[in-house]
Amino acid sequence: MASLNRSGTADTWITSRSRWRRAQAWGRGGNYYERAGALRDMIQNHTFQLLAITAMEPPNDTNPESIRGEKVKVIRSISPITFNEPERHLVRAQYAAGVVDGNEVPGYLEEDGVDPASTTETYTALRLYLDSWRWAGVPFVLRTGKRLSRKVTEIAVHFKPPPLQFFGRVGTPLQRNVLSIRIQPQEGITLNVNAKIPGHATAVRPVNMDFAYGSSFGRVVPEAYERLLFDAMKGDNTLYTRNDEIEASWSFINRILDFWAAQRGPLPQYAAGSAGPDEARALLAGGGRRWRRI
Amino acid sequence: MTVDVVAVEKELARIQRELTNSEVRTSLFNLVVFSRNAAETMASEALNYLLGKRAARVIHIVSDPAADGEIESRLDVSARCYVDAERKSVCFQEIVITNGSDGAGGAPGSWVPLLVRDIPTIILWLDTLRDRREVLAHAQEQAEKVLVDTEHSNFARRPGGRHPR
Repeated sequence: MASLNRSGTADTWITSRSRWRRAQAWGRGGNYYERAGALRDMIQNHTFQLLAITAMEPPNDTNPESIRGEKVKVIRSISPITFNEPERHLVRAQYAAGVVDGNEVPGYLEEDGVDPASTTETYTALRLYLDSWRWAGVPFVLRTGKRLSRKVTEIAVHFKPPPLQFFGRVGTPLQRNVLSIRIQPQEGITLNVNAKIPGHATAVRPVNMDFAYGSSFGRVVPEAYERLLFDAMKGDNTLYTRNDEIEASWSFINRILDFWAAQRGPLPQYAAGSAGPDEARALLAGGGRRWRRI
Repeated sequence: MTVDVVAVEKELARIQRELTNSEVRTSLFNLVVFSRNAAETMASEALNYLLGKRAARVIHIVSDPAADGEIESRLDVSARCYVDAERKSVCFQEIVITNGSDGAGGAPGSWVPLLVRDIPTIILWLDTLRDRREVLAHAQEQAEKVLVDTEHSNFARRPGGRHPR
């Protein structure tokens, strides 16, 4: 789309659903999640894949190497986080007790198999910038967390307002138009736009234009791993991450892990079933932008 | 009470299909009503006024378990539809969460997943504020507008004996 660049895009939000699997905390395979945390478990791989696909230049063709070559350029272009004001770029937290899907759940530190003094993060949010002509200055907010109010994986592109808002002069200011690409659940695309309310009055209200894979094609979308396994059998590596992309992503992630390792004290907490920690709001402080609801 | 979002959405869609054969307009806003009991007059008046005019999702959270004799939180879904002049159905998708003694029903983790995303959310607070300020604060985070009826909220009365509204 012509607007997916620094001229048309105000900011892009990538939210990854992180499933709670009890086996992780109970230690199947040696208590995996306790050793990993949200940054390693979700951001480095799943969320970075969504970032790469969103921000990459169109490949010259559908050849796997053409696509993978464009993706790695995105990961390499991520501007390294400076730790002068880490709270403006980086948030980590742990969930406390709360209510999820109508059921009371314990805090992370009270879960079976979790060290009561654990500093493993169950929530991470990052504000990134890409050093490229196309995306310079556009914030990409990446977030993932366990036990949040809503289980959703999506890419949401918030467009810049037009230079002259003649509708916005009357009544309340206009919301930004938003393109949401839903990966889970209910795969589809929603374009949220401001529409004039029919009638003589000049009034505008946001409305959704919805497309849902499930209802449009009437067939079940294959499970993600079903597709990957099938591709492996066919020898198609388009959806597999190339080693140079993995190395580029880890070189970025490792700086954060080293920074966190030097920090002391308990992590900020958020109530299970909430939208995340209050500290996450600082990621967009001062920019006149609004935290996107989960 | 377990809130199964997929099951709720399916049930709402099924009820709407049963109610109407015509095309259904999509919801334009979420209205979340917090009240002490289910038969809150002002909420009913507001919904009756809007019925047939604007398609909406209404989530009604009833906070007082004693009033309805409830012990566990529970969730009920229904829909009301009205066919407009263009032969399109304008439906209220209604979800009633009755908060039990466990308090789970009013927590954001119970009702936030049921909001339709990317459309305005309005909170209509017809509940007391005593011991409920945290619930209101969480609700505010989800809303474009919050309407608090002070008749219910235990504000101090003015000298004339009337509540500020």
